[in-house]
Amino acid sequence: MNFLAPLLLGLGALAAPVVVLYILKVRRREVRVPYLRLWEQLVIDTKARSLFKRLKRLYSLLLQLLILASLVLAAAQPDFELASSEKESIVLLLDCSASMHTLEPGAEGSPDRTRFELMLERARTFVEGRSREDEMLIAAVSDRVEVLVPFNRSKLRLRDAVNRARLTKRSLDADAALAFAREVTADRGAPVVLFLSDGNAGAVPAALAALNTPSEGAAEAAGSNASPATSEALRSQKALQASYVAIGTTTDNAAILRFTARKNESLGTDFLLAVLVNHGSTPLETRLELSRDGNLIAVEPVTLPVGEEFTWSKKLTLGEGGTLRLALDTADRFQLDNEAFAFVPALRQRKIGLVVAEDHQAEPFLVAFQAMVEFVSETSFFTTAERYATMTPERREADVTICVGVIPADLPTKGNLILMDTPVPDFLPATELGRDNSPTVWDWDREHLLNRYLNYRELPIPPARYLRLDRGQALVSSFEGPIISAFDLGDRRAVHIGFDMTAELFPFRLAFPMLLRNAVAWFEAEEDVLFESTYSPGTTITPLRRVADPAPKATLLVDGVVTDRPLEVREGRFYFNETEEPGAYAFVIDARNYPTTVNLFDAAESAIAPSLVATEIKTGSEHRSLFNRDLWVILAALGLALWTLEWITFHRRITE
Amino acid sequence: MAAPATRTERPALLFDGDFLRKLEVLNVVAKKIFAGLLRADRKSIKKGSSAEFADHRAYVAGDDPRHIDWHLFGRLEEVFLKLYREEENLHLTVLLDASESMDAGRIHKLNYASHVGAALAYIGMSNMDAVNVLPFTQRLAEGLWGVKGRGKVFRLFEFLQGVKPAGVTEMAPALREFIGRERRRGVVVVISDFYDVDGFQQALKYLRFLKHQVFVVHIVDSEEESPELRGDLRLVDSETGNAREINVTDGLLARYKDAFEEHAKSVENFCVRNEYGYVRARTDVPFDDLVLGILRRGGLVG
Repeated sequence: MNFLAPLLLGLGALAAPVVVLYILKVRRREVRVPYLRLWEQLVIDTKARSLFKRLKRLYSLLLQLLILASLVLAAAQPDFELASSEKESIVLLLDCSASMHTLEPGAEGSPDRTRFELMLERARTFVEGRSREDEMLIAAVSDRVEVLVPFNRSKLRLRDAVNRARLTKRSLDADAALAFAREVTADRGAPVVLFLSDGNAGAVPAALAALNTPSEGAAEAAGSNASPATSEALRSQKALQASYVAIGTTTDNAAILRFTARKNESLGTDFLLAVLVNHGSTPLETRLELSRDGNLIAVEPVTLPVGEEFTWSKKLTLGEGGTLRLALDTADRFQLDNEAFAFVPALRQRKIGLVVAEDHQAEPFLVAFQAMVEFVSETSFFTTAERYATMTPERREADVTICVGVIPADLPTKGNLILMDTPVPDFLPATELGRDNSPTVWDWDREHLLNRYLNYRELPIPPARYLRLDRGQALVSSFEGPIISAFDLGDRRAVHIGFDMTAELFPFRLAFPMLLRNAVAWFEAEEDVLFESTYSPGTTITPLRRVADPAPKATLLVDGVVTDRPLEVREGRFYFNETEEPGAYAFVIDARNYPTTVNLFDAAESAIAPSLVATEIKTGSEHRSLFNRDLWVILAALGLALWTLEWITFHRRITE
Repeated sequence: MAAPATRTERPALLFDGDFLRKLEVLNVVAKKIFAGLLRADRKSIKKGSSAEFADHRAYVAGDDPRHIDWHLFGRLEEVFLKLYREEENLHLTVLLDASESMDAGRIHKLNYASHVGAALAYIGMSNMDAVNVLPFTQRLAEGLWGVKGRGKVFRLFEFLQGVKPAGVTEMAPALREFIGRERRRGVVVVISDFYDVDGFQQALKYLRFLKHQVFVVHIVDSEEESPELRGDLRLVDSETGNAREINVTDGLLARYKDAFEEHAKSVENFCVRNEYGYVRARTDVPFDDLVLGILRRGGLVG
């Protein structure tokens, strides 16, 4: 026998004062009488019963100690934990996913309640109605499974487990939950699974059906997200009795299923895309509110068709970037999916270092830079190779170093490179094979970021060096070989252009700014991406690559409240799991801000209409008995009964 | 009857103006009831040595020759003695139980008994009787002997106020001492609760020797008659200090009441059998009503 509140057993020490009080109680009060003889005659009559009276006194003390023991044991909440070898095992799965936030209309006069609250009520019904012989495991399920109480017969523990269930804003992985149920009941007789859920857009009934009839197809159906081992286990095991208890009735809901923001580094514009859905029975006329960093910047009316995904897009120029919040202005009963977050990075000026063989070669570049003031920093410089050699290393450092016709000595070890009509330096994994005096472009990699918006067809190209690439990518090739190549050198990237783009002035003016922007976009494409653009609630965020900062920190912006969290880095990685709340998150690493967002983008969660499946559930009410109740209640009742008995016997002068 | 083991202070015994007025009323009523009877100068049927001639009888050897009627001897030449009617006062004795057991009661028993005794004594004193007021416990205490006249009433009151409850009730030696000291026949009023371990019967029988007219006033307090006791108690006898642990239950209380009634009845029955006057004096009955009742029943009339 265990006690849920064993410390309260210390109240047993009250036995000492009880005994003392009893002694005080039985200590006789002295009374003067004028003629004792009258009383003595009576005492002689009753003397024969004195032994019995002593016993009765002892009986009174025993009664009082029994009362105390009953109350102390009741307070300590005794709990019988029986061996889990009985036949019937019930797995009670509680859907704690986001859709359980849905408000359900209350009965007449009563307030609305969430599906989660309704589900807990049903769960308590099952716990109370459970047969005493049954043992039950209760687990809270969302995108993961949390066992609230292992197989147990203690109603107290089961009730406590239900009370400990917490609603999350995560998605539901019904297959994983049922696979778990299957695994934990694998070695038990008569397993029963009760899944209390709103159905997760039919996923739960489907998974249950697969679980009840584990065939090849069902296993596959149930195991779409499950591990191969789990699917194999499903196939090999016998069917178990699984029931789905539908929670809720509300169906109408509008949701944002997707919201992204992309900055076009080449054009300097931002492109917003949202996917909306209306699960109502009529088209929904509503508004979309777009805010940046808490300030409303756009409101657009939209009409959402019934049951179809609606795509909304918007092009903006948000040079300074920021956190965007898109909100659906509708008062449906599931609000979690009515807002979404995205992040737009700010346009950043880069320091460009231009190294030319002759000063006049810089003129076209400088003209181009003047048209790119939002992109090219004022700290940019141009110089010749000779003067470059005299510059300090700090001065030479640049985000992008452009070498035209010459490779200066002492190139900085950091920063990306654009080598234009230069010999192939040693650090590039390529060999110059020759010069193609009349190159004709026959192929270029149209998918590569560097070639975005560029069309080399029919482009007059001056004589160009062509290479043989040991590593690297050929971006533009003539018949002789690659004339524009890209190299990923690990800590830096380089683009080799085999010809002088300034030779044909007109195309250059159009092409070079684009090429430069594309090059920078490619240079920074992976450098900047340290996190996914969005995560699901509850996801553990870890950087995509190792970080050097030993003490980064996370900044959470949830419901307008900013909170900082220090992060512990081990071997260049950290793991951040405080992502329950949708909102904007940012990680400050090496003094640089890496934003990301947490969004509930789950079509199944947003399809809140509960899957209604008729399922017969054994309530077990027929098994109820006195002994099926909590022991502490029985003990407390016993204590009360004993106290009443003691009171009656005392006042009837039986036990005094 | 029951009192806390810790002794409580005895209430003051008051003989105030109101008390005196009550006594006067009683006295007037008594005179109306016993008009002509309650006279101190009543002639005794006992032949004695007063001046009033009563009869003659033949002289026998041993008679006092001073009472020979020599005139009759001269005429008849036979020796006759002159007999005279003895003139005597009514002797009223109030024997007051002053034991510790009287120091109890919802209405203090000794105070109540003192009031009753004072009233009877006052009536007696008003009619020029000689009144003795004698407290007793296990022996006769110093008392008032032969008090006559209403003028002595304050002395009586002062005496009664000085009576302190103490000691054990032993009526037999006390009353034996009384009859040894008071040889004159009279009315004896015994006021007591009759809580005598050795029994009251023998003591009351002593009063028959001189053919006293005995009147018994049995003091009963309602607390004794129906004690409000419950639970585990240690009962301590107020006179002897003996103690006994008793569980007072409803059943025991009922039997106690029976025992108490039996005790009271035994006193009454003894009095009836011995032609003693008897009254059960419940302390919750005003003392003047009690005395009036006693007078109406003629218990004090010789």
